[in-house]
Amino acid sequence: MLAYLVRRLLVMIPMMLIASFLMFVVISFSGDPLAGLKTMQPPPPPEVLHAMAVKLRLDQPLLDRYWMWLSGLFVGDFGPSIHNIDIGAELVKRLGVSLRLLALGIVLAFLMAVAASVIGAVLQFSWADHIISFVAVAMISMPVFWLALQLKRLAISINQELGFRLLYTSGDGAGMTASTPWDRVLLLIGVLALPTIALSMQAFGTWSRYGRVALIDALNSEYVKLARAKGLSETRVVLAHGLRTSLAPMLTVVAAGGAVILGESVVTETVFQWRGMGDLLVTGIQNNDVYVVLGWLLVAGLIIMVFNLIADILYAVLDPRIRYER
Amino acid sequence: MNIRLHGLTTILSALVVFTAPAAVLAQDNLVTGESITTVNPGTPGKGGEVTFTVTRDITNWNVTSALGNNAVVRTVTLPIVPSAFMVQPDFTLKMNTDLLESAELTSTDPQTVVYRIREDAVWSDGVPITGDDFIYFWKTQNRRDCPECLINASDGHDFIETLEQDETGKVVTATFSEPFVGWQGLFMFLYPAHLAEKHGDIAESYNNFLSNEVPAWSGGPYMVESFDPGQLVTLVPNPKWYGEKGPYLDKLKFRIITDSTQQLTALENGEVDVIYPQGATQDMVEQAARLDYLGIDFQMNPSANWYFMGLNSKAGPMSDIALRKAVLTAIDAGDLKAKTADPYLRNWPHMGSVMFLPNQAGYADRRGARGYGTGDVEKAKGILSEAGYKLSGGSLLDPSGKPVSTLRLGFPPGYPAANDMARLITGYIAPLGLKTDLLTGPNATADYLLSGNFDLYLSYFSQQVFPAVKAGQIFLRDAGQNYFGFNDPKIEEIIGKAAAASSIEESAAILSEADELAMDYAALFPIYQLPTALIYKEAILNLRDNPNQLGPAYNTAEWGLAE
Repeated sequence: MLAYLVRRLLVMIPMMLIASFLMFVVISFSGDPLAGLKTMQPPPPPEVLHAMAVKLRLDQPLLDRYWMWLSGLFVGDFGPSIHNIDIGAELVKRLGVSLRLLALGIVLAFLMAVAASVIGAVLQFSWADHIISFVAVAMISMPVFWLALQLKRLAISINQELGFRLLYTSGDGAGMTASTPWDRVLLLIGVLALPTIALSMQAFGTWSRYGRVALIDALNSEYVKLARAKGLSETRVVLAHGLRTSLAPMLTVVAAGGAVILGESVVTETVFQWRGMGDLLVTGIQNNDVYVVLGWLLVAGLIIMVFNLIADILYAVLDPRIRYER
Repeated sequence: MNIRLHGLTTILSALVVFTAPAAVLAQDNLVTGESITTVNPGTPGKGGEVTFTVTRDITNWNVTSALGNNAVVRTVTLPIVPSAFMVQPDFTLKMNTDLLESAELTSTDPQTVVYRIREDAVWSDGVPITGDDFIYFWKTQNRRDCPECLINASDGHDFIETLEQDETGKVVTATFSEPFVGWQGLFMFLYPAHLAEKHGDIAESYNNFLSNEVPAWSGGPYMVESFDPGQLVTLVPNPKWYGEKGPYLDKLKFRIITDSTQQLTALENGEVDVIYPQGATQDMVEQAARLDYLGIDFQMNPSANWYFMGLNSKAGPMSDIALRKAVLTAIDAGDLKAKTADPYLRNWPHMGSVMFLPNQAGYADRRGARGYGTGDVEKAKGILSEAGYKLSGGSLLDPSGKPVSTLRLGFPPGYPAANDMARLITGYIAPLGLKTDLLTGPNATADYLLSGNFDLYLSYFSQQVFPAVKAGQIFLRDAGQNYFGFNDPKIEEIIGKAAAASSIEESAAILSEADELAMDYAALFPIYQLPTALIYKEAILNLRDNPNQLGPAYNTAEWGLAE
């Protein structure tokens, strides 16, 4: 297992290098980083544009720029930003904001998916199973931004019914204050509720479908029949034997789905105005802030690789039959 | 009638026609007034908070720098940074009487202006505002004392030859190297020289201290209490405020909501009190009209930004003036406006000039006078025929018999009206045998407009208080925004004279002739002005739309809540 881990980690290095070079070339040719300045009314003087070009290393050949960027990464320098952003510090800060949302979204989606899987598998083809299946498929089909907008409309109605603002439609809580501990709890709920629900619903839909099928398979297997024959209670059979086995494929899907949910967080953060990684990417692209976009892609690439690695490790841990030694 | 009031009242009828369920509400909450400069008046009580929404994060606090020169930084720093003159909602300039006792043109040869600063005008640390602050700002902007200063534009500060102050520091004399009609537009933002000098030389203090550090100082009614990047700027009253009025609010907050479409939802949910979205859309106007039940009012006006279609006279088929004139004649400007603006901005004014807004001295409908925008296809065909073009099998052949190439019609993304206009214009010129390739995308401006890779381009220009100054940025041969190849020494000569006139009225009279010539050049077709929309809680008094570059934050000292 350890050897497998080391092997996987070593493979990640050339993968990241190749990916970083491809990203750099593509992003470098994706537009003029100074276009925003050049089209200002009036545009800044030529000396100012030249100074900005030098700052962004646009006076250097492409390969030199790549090398400067790559070597800078090893000392924590993610390159110059047209808007004076300390990209390394910003990535750390934004990652923290996004992880808060991602972690909550994943946990909520996973718990709901497990519950839905158990109900769906145990009460297969019952009305409860049909309703859950319908909701799950609806959530899979629903674009995140549309769901987010509907949640906002709902929140406004709820707040108006309550007579006070419980749910917030924008902001991640930064700059908002509450005087009492209870108010702080309410503020936390109010800020987190909508984006977390919006982000988790599609994942819930997908994961619950996988979980249901995996659990049905597990409950029909020979060893579960043996467990029942031994007189174990149905609850123990389902939870200890069926669910544990079905969690293996489900967790793989969850881990591999990290990339998908990361993508959805871009939309969620934009709609709910969270200043996380998604917002950083959007503003980086809007501003043609090349090194911000590169930094984002690098971190996102790493996260996806790590999620995939976790998926493989979990698979081995949860299913003892799987071994990676050659 | 004031053109803006005309616009305001006609929006009302638009809402009646096109948003039937909301129309009655719209009549209630669209605010109009005797004058755009006095609409929504009142004497506020002391205290309370107002949260104003802005559309982007602040990464540079220096509004006069290349990277800080945007609407959001202007809005947030206007309550902090003092200015000699302020652009009013009716597009006139008014001396800041809180800061200055007077600003007088005392001589025209050489042009000399004397500024007298009020005795009680001080920065928030109690240090008087003096000529030092004028001189520091002038040095950052004039391109001579600090070429390393990353300014946005010198805006005429380079015309000042010498800038001196008397021994009190309260009388500042500017002597110009050449006459400059836009002198009232100078010193629009002043920074504390005594603090700047503690942060390195001029370039260092300008490029770093004033740009990258959150201002801990103020020369206006409010000062920054806190800044949560990407989320919120909180201002509190400046304890040393020396002005006649205000500030009335305990806190003035600027919440950053970068997605304009989410701002109205935040307003409806009570998270913000004022929104001023960039690019008001039909959907937004209709939604605002429905919020009457929450005590939401709104003001709408034609802005200083105006749509145009530019024609590339430097290269390609549009280098032939006959073809340019034929295209402009075939465009049906009435239909264009009816289909892209009138559905929500009914009877929105046309733009008939490329150098003046309809409410500026010097304006006349020079577009219609030439038959441009009439949609007269037969007349357009006549122009082409006279120039030797022939229509053959649905295609236009140039005088040498070759087919005229497909026209590259570019426009930037994010402007639904521009998208619609591009398609409509394609239809207007099709009977002439002309076809178009529509070009857009996230980098459209760089890929097409800046690189000259277009035949026709739709976008907008931002007009300035001094039309001669703006004309100098578009119509001179080496001007930064001369994308369309204007190359007429006569136009340049007239713009030069207009810029050196002794008054804005005289300047406008001179510039009118250049406007005529520019229209004759047929490389720029004015369409109409973009709208602004200020949507806010009705309890906020003295909040009014200022549809030029300054925006509504020009008078924050007067903002307050009804008692």
